[in-house]
Amino acid sequence: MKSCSFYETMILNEETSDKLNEHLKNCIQCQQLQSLMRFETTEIKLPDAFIEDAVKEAFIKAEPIKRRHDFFSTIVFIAVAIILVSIIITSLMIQDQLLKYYFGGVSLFMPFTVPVFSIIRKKVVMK
Amino acid sequence: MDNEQLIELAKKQNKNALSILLTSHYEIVYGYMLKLTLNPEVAKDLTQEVMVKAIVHMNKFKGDSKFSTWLIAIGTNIYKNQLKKNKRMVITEDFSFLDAMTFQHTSTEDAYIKRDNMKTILKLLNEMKEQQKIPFLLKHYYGYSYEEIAVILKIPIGTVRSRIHNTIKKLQDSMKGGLYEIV
Ligand SMILES: [Zn+2]
Repeated sequence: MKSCSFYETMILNEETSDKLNEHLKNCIQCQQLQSLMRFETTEIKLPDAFIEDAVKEAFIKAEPIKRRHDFFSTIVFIAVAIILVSIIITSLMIQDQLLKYYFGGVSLFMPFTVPVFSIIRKKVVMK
Repeated sequence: MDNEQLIELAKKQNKNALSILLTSHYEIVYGYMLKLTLNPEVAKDLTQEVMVKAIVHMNKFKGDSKFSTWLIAIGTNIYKNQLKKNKRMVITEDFSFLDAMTFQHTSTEDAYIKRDNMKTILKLLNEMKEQQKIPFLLKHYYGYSYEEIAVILKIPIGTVRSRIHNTIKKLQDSMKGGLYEIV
């Protein structure tokens, strides 16, 4: 027996039309296929008390995981903040030092920048 | 209170609202896990994992899909991870637990036949790879569109289509000798 693929083609194209309904009336193969393929929302009934307990338990289990999560995101936040602040300070230091180098004046960051920038300055002067 | 209001509250860490949402969606998730694993015990454990994940990540739910779809997506990931951990998941040979399934818009007699058909299909699906099993389940048991399945599984829509097509072909081949001979 040659197998009919009408129903299959229709559902693969997500079409449900009068044409399909008409075809289903006359084609046993497609009827069989339809009854096999469609099981809309087949659900298992569970006792209410069971579900309530399970959900309660889930909240208890989730608590430490959530705390760990929160802790982790705090750590990440602090790390990102530290990196951002150091980038800002470094760029200020560079700017400050450049101004001082070219135009003279007093650097706010002298105590921190002298060791680093004296090396850079030496190199620049040597050129 | 409707689902949307509950979801809004749940996202603001309202434990009561989230609890109501999870309670009302528990059976959907459990039914899905049962169809995937064919093992009530494993299904229970995995459903519990879905609930825990949903509680921890509730603030990440964007609301662009239905809440049930979000849970199904979480469940799919948990199931896939479980498969990676132990490749051969034990299935119970006793399928009587499926008798508890109810069908919408179906008379008692039809339900009897449907249940038998479903057992056959689930058994056949269980012998297939998860890539073939999951899209078919989502389409034919949950009525998701190809587009929704593509989002849930994070694969192209064309892939969803061809996988479901292959699964149907395989099922048809398996049943060539008549449906009831396999059962
Ligand atoms: Zn036909």
